[in-house]
Amino acid sequence: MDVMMCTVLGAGLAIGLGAIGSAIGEGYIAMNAMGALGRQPGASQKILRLMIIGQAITETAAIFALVMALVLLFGGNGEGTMKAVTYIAAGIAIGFGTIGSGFGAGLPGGSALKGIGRNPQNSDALTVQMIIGQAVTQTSTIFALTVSMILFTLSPELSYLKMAALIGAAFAMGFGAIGPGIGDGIVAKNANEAVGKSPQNMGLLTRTMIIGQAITETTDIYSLVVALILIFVV
Amino acid sequence: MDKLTHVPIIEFSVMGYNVSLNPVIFLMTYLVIAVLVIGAIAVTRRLKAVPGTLQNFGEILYEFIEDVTVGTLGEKDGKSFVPLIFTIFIFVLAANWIGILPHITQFLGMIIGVIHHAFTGNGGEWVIDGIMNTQFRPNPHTFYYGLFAFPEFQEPTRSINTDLALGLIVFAVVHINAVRKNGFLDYFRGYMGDIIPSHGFWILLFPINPFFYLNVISEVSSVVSHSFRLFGNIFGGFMILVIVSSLVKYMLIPVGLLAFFGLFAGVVQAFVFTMLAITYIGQKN
Repeated sequence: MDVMMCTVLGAGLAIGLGAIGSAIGEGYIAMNAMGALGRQPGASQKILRLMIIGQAITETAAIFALVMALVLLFGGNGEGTMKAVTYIAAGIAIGFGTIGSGFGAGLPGGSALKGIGRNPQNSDALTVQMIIGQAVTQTSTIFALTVSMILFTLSPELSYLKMAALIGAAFAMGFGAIGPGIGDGIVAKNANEAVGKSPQNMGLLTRTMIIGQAITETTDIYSLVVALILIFVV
Repeated sequence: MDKLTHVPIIEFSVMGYNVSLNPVIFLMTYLVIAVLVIGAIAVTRRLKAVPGTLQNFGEILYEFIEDVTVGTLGEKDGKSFVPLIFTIFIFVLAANWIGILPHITQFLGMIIGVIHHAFTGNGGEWVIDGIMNTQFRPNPHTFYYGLFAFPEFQEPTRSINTDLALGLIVFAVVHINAVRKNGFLDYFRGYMGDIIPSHGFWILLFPINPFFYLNVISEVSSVVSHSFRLFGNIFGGFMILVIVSSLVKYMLIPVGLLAFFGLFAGVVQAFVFTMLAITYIGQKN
């Protein structure tokens, strides 16, 4: 198998799949910004600022996918069949792994903008809450990036079992990250809506949100553990 | 493009252990520390009741972080953590911003060199090779050659070592604070989950409690996600910059990208890192 062929395939998988989630998430944020502008045209500065910050953070998932794609394209110059398999696996892991949290990070951004549309006075509380929610939502993508980078640097010995294990690890981490990403986003979305309604409860809401997100992420940690076992133990 | 894979490394051994470090990142980290120390001295040198421009800037930054910290951790605990949190924030911010002008010393050296060469004629030589590759090579004996030899500025946060160190500092603070606040037994009980009771002697059953292991893994993975978030964003910005720059032959577009990834994403990621540090502390408090 030609290694170059596999780096190209891996790069295509990485950015092609990785762009899906973030694009939808950013669109959701912009949609709610339009709604907020319709309600509060006077607060357009605050709305624009929050929209840009929210979209920039949502883009992180796609940027990770782009980085892995570029690393595969320009840095993937190893040799041998196993190296080729690790490149494809790296592409699969980051590609599927970014779908969930790209979309998920858009949800709190959207509801933060909805909150500003309701009452522009709350914009500071909403910005802080949105950033925390989005940052925690991205955990699953970061695990996918970690696994993808480990796969990229790996050079195992030739065996069919190891080959299957590497592809399996990529699927475990990639698919495993979709659910927690969206789930975390749903938690953060509703926390943000609640902050928009009653900003005085923000401390309580942030704490509960983080605990809820941490438990949602448990399944992501299962995936990470299984992926690492597949990579290093099998 | 060889910038992507080339990392300068010094290796030496201390007491039988092989240590390798990246001298450029090392230098940049100390540069950031120097900038922060000088900045802090300059801001606090002459404190006045009616603040001047510099003091005003420092106060705005400090009060912003203080508000966020006190808002999350409460009045009493918040105040005691503000110095640490503020230090983390300005360190990460300065570290993210130091790479905005990567070749500033070479640029200054070239301006001085060209002027020096025009007047004295022995400052160096022009190498003329088409429009894109014409360059000025300074004479190694001149006084400004040090500016050329100075390495390209790069963010210390671009290296995973810096980010992991910051993440581990926060991790240590979170857990030491939690033990100090609640006592070791209550802290340890927090890892038990709800299926197996955790009061009295039941706590000795922790080796067969699956939730114990899962909670330990989730604590450790919080360090990974905390530091890799910063690393991935800064490293990703750098990588996009390098590749786009070489595609457009360093014309104009990299300036906009530097403004976005250097200035804007630098602030946002510094704030995200700080906010997560505060929330981790508050969660275990």
